[in-house]
Amino acid sequence: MIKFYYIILIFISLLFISCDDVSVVNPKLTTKEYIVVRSELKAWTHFEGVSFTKTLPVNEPYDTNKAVLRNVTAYLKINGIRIIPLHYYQGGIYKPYGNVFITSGDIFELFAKVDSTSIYGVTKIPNRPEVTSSSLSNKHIDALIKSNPGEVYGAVWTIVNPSNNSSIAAAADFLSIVSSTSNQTLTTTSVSTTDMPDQYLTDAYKDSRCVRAYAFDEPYLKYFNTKNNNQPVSNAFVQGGDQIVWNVKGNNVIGLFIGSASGSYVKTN
Amino acid sequence: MLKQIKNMKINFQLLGIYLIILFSIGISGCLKDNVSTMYDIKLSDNAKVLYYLEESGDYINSSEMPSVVNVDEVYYNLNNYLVIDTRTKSEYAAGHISGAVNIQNDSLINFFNSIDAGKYQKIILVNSDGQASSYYTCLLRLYGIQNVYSLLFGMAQWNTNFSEIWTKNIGDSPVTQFFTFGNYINDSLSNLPNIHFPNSNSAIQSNVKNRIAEILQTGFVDNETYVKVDPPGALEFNGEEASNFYIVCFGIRPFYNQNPMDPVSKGRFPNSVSFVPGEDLKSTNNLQLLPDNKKIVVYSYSGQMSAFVVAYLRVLGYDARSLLYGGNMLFYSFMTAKIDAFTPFVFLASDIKNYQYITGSSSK
Repeated sequence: MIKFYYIILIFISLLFISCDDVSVVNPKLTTKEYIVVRSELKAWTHFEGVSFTKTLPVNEPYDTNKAVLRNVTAYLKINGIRIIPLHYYQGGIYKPYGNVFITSGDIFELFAKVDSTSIYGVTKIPNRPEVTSSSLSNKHIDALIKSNPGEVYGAVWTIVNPSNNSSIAAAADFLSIVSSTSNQTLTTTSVSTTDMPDQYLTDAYKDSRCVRAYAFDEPYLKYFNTKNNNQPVSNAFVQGGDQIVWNVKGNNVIGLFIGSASGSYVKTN
Repeated sequence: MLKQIKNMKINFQLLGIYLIILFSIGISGCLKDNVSTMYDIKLSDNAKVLYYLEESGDYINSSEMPSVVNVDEVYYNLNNYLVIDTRTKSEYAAGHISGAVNIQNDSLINFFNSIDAGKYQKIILVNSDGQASSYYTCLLRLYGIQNVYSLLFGMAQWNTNFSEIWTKNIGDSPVTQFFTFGNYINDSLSNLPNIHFPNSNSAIQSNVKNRIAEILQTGFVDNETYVKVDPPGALEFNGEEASNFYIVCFGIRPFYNQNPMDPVSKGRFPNSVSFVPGEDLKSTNNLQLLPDNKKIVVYSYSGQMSAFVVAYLRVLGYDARSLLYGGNMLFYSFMTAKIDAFTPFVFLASDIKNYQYITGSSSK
């Protein structure tokens, strides 16, 4: 009787093992195609459009004509009421017929459809960031920015021409993006710039050194902190995988649809 | 014996546990790791209509709007133009332009589907006073027929025998006693009107075209697509207080914002807002100042341009009506005093032609 049960046991075990899905790895390289959506909505400027492109296979040279999408149906919805259709302009960029002015506090939604793919993005336009104090610290500038909920901040050093306040040189990127919501009790957020080149640390540039603050809608923080993910591994001790966090939604859709605001140049001695 | 039975019970229990574990592992192993997030973001039908109307040329804000031609142009191009008379059979039989075909509004789409519209230099829609033909012309333009025009002032300017419909409606209306001057600002935005296509997933173009065809089928109807100041001299449209309507003055600024010091100026409807052609109906400008929950009356120089606007607004779902004869009926003395600004939308007796017309029901 027991032997009979053992036979049944072995039979069932074999049955389950047969469930295992044997995948044959296709030796050909396949590339998953993504739709790429990009738009930065800068406060107190006119809306410059949304770019809709698609990724191309890795072994194919980049060709704008192949990457741009010309068959997108898209519109903006502002503050849940106003609908502004977007139309193909050039180079994958879609714009409204007319000017749309972007105001701090506005909520912009993007609705789009490409063939059967639906795309959605939403962002709140931040306030113009206000630097309350700044100081040169070693080679970089530290700044305190007046905080608002739902906004994140970054700062860049800038060298300006003192006679006309135009920028001569500036940092290419932020050192970090800092969230204002990490400590609700604080009314200011501390940010730092990247290091300035030594040439700008001399007294000759004393009156030219400035800091410029930038505010972004909150999802920018995750994007900034993950934007270097998924890069080719050039350093054996660095993890090359993991995903970039985008804020545009849709199946096989990546991209940023993000509100931003830039502050004025603040002189830092 | 008792011990053997006890051992067997234990074996059965072990066997049961083993089977449960095996089954769980098996089931979980059979599942494929296919984790995907499905996004079902729907584009709203009203936004699709607006998108389509803009994408197909943004006619209402283009320099082509309003597409009208005068009687002289039609008279001298009868061999190149197709003339469609949209009046009733009896009106057509009483007198029509030579060569004109009699097609009423409910047959226009079928007619255009049956002809090669592109082979005509222009296709002219005609009715008695240019009001309904302006409305239909706009709908056909939005439908995609690019060479259709409305005959300015209709048959009323073709021949004196048909001009009464206009001559009896021009003048200075006593309703202007209620008119005011200066700007009226209303900057509260409204949603686009609700529109639901029966089959939202089918192509936008076919959905919008079907909608336009339905609107054309309904026609240019009293109290639905047009109104009059009625009773005359009362601040009412078809017997309903004007304050129940959102009133749009569609024309250049001096038409709305008249100079109160100028003795010919009569002003504008109280609480009316100014929409400038080519600008204010744009989605990026003032389109959504129009309410989605209130009846709208649009008045223009002669009622013809407002009929174009009303056609556009009705496709977008607005409950809009055109005020017949517009400024020509409200303040004709002002229109004629500023004729340079309002030409060709001022009806002048001197412009009435006595071109030949055909009687009877045959189009030949």
